[in-house]
Amino acid sequence: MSRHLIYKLVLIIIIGGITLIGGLQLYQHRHFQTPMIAGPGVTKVKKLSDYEPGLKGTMADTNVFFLKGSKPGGKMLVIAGTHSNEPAALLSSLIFLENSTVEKGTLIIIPQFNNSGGRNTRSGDGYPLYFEISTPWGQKKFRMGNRVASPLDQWPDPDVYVHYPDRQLLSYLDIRNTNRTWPGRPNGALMEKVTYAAMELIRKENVDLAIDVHGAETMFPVTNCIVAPEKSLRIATMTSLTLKATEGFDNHVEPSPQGFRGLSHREIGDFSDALPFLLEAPIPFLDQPTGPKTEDLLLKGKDPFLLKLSKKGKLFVPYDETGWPMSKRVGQHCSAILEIAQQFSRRNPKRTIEIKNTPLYSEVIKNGVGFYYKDPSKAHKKNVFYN
Amino acid sequence: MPFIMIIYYLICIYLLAMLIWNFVREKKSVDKMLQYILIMIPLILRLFRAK
Repeated sequence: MSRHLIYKLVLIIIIGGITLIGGLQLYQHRHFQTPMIAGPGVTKVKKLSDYEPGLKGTMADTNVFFLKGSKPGGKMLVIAGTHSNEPAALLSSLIFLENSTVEKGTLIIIPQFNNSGGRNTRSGDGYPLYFEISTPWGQKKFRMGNRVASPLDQWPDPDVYVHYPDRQLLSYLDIRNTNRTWPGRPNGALMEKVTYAAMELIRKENVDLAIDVHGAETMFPVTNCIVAPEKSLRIATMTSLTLKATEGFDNHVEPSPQGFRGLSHREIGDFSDALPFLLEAPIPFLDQPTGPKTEDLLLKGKDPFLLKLSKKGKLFVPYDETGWPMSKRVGQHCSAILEIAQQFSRRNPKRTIEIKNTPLYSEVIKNGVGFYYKDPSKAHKKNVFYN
Repeated sequence: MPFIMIIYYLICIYLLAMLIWNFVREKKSVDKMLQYILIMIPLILRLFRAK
């Protein structure tokens, strides 16, 4: 056998082996199932494909949980996991899902909105594939996802993404970003179908409030805030002021720009009667000038480089040695969601949304996020949903 | 399958065939052999629809 043939065979075996080992880890990550427990308030579970059949059988389909109160009232939709690399949203939605009960009105929760994104990763940034939350019964493991859907589910990307229906030119990558494809369309790309299904849900279920839960970099000005269009501004402002007075944390209001299309806080309001809000809590993990993107950074939010930048006044949020832990971010989301429902209910008594048994900011910080998660091995099988 | 996807798959087949041809013909440079294999990986995965 000639020398070059031996080189070729050795190279094929080595590269093939590396590809197989790496690929297997990504395959396991893509198919890892997270248990979610439908708590005492859950009355019905549907799929997003019930509102857009084009999603049926795809990785983009996801669970929709309904918590209907015994008394009539308004309806609030909580969307988490629009960006799966901002996991405080998913963790907050699970606290509502597993603990909350509704007295009046209906709470609708989509914990993993961009389900394909939740099965994607950002290997170029060295993202961890999983993270774990400590609970009283052990560690609860979650997939760490990516901002955009997996190219395995939606491919190819266009050179330029032309937004529907405004025809605004956006980055090619944003066609897989479910916070750029609103209001969507039934015959578009897969992520356009996802947002279209959510719009159909909002319209058919007569949703009053739609809250899209996110996280943003500490160096990005639109962080630690509530983004709201004109018609939601009053409730957003009162929520922000009340949270500062009662819970003691800042959560300023950012107006939704009219000229930037495809975002939930813009298109939901323009294409339905619902009042949209987008919540941003700081997530140091997403900042560029940090150390390695580890699970520790994700959960504790402590980084020496950000600390230096903070001392130079380069961050848009207060930042010290304590970092910005997950409990703080999740607690903020819980309190902000509850306060938006209260502010809306005060102005619309006939459409009241009354939610009980949900912890506030101070309680989540005191007890930790995992305190509120139930043990799936002890839950009734019919109440455990894997996704 | 939409027409654009058929075109993409045809491009994949063409590029992969060219890479295999170059890989087979390469007799000296190990660097180039390595490059050809690495570039082939995503094309093979796409053609075989390996997820």
